[in-house]
Amino acid sequence: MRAALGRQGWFAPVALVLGGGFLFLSLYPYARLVLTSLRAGGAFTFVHYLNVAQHDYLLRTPLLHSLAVSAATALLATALGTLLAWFAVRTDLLGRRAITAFVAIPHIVPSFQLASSWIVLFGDAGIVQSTTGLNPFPAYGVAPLVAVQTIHLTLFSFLNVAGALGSLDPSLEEAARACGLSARQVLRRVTFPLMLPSILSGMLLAFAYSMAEFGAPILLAAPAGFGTLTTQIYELSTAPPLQFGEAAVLSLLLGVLALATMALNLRLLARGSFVTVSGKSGTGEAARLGALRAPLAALTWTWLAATSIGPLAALVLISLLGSWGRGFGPENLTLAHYSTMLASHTLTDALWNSVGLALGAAALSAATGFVAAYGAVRLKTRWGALLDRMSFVNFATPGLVVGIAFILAFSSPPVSLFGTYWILLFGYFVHFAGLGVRGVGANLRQLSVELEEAGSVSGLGRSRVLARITLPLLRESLAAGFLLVFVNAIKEVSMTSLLASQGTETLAYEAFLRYSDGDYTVGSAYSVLMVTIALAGSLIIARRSRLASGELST
Amino acid sequence: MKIVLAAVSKRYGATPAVRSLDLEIASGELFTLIGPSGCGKTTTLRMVAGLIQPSEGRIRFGERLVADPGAGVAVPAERRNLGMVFQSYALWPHLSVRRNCSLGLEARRLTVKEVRARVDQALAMVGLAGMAERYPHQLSGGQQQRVALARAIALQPEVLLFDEPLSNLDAALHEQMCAEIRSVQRRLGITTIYVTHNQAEAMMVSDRIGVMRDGSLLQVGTPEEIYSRPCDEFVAGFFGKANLLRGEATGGELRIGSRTLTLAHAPAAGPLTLLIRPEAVLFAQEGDNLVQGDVQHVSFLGGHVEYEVRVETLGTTLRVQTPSTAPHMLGRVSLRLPPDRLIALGSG
Repeated sequence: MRAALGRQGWFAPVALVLGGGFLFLSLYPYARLVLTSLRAGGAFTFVHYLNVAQHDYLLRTPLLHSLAVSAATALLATALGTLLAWFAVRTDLLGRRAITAFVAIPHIVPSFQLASSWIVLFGDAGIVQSTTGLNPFPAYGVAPLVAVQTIHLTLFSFLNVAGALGSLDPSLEEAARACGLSARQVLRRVTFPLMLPSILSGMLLAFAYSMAEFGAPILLAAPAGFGTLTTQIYELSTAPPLQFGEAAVLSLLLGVLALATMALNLRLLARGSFVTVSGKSGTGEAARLGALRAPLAALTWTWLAATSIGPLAALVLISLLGSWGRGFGPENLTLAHYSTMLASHTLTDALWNSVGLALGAAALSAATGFVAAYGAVRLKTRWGALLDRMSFVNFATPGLVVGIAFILAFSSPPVSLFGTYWILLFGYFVHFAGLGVRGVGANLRQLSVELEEAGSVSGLGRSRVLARITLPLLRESLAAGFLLVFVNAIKEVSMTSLLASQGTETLAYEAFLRYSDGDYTVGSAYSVLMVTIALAGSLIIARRSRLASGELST
Repeated sequence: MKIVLAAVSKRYGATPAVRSLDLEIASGELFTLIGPSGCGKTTTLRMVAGLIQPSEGRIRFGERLVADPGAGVAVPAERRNLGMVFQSYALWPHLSVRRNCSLGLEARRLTVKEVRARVDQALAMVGLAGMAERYPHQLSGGQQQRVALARAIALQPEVLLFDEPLSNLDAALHEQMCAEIRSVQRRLGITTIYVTHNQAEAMMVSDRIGVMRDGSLLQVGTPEEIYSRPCDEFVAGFFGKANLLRGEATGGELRIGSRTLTLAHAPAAGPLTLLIRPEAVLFAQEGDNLVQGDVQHVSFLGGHVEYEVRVETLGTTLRVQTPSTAPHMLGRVSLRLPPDRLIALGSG
């Protein structure tokens, strides 16, 4: 393989720096995390593990809370996502083609913002109470947490099931009808079993993401005295007395749980996918909802509007509010927060920090994605495969856990980065690089190697083949990976809340910090900017992918 | 049970897919719809299946009206008592071979024992007796095809439908499955509609063939009728190789430039196209309708040899087929076009 790499020209040094850097930035922090969990006072010990096992408030309670909330979230999100996907792909529901966008919006809006919107809508003197006098839902606690996370995570099941339904060979269902099965029997005996892997996969994804959630539980559940694994880890590592050993143990547990769930999902997808893509699609006729068409459309669209436009409207309204508790009339609306922040440069500073860090992480991730994909797919090297695996592991590991590992690794010599931009840049890079690697690898796998061989035969050297043929052919997936990393880095808050410091605050962090202090008006002003960038980025991603692959479904 | 289509049309928006089709298929008959892609054959089959509903016209299964948009009759596929074999086989990947065959039976309130017996019988009939517990992905293409057939016949349907069932098989398997479908259909005597774009396949399996183009039936007949008396150039070219001769009919003769050919029957005067199949053209020195030509190309095709002979007096190149045991011809040759093998085509 040395010979193969040696002939790559500029590729070799680039691969070495990016790949080597990525592996170091991934493995060293995890090593420090494990080490921290096993050391006390400079000596090897299991005391942190024993401590955690003996005190219910450290492990048992938050673990059970996390599992319960995640299970409830996963079940609800899957039921909802599956139903909406069926409406969108297989029925004549009014406006069915627009459903995707409205399920996507509350996923693009970060969950801590959804939580904040929930609180300002349903809290004391909140929007709903002030305008209607009603108090329909509690502001804090388990139920709001599950509701917010469900709304946030419905997209996984929706996309999985909609994709599978759209690419299902219609003759599988027609054959069942020709065999004499009624429409209901076809749905139960053929369609549903064929959809099951996709449905389960969406459920596992929602579960893993829910376990990793930090912003929503700390804003919604912690004030009600309901701690989860993530809020417990945060508390142990930020509130004195600091207990990094215990935090490390819990982080390892959370990381392993999240990884196991994601790995299970991968296995499920690799083994159980029955869906066969056939040339002719769309011959299956849409189910007619008949008399239920109008009421179901009303119900669906009320839900979709409430969960997508509702949080955004609340966010914008609160950002314009003069002061909390004086109602929501025009006399209490002002642009003062924006102008104050602009005058003091806190808003612009945070904006440039956010954009700069996100762009940097996105560029590093896309480049690493190319290196990993080329190493794994074309050169078939071990290090390529290792980069590929590692990027998956880092992405599956909750951001909070990566944050803890980074603090442990880089806040003291030999590598001291705390307080600088680098720790955030590398943190985002390590955590989100998987978003770049996966797409580029898949793209490269589909490209015939003959395209590159034709370049070599035409007399292009290896470096030129890479620069003139391979890279341009991969530009769609490289751009998609870049944008995905950018959007996710803009919204990141769980890792940032541990790694940001004076002068390196991002928009999301500023907003989150204000929300944690109960200052929703100023926080919202930051958040409006952050959400706008995230929505714009996601819109570009959606446009591009639609251009690249045609319309998602019928 | 016979199937009758009366003035059946299907439009998608303003685009007609099938135009006012009339067709009667006899009880126990294997009827093939053939034509180039987009001719409406699959649309017709899917209307018979009840997977789509006609825009106009009536479809009857025996005395039972199953589709009549005018009267609001639209019996869905599941209540037409069908067996259907799809181009993609459409085997349910999550079910074993046995469950694939029994799923339709389970919806029909039979005892477990009856279901088992019927499935075993159907699998035995297609030669898959030992394969019941396997899953579709564990089978070869040919075996999957047999399961699809077994699934259809296990239902003991009144109507059997095939939608290009053999287009995914290689040549050897193709011929074998053709014969097998034919023999199973004969034994069971189920009225069958078979859709294909392959003329050899149509010839092999069919009692009668309907040739479609642009949503209309051009000709209906036995394979022999269609081959030896095609109604027009399109059908002539679709089934086998065709030599076409265009000229003016006068009395019992066809005038092409300065030549005249003698005909067996006197057609109406005017422009006329004649068809003669390559195997009907003879190398001969005497007789009527002799023409001189030059051999330009010879292809050895195993059982027979095919010549391309340039005939200047007719202004055309004729394809001529002889058994490969006959002496091979080269250079200047004399050909005979027997009058009784010259077929006048309907359209000019």
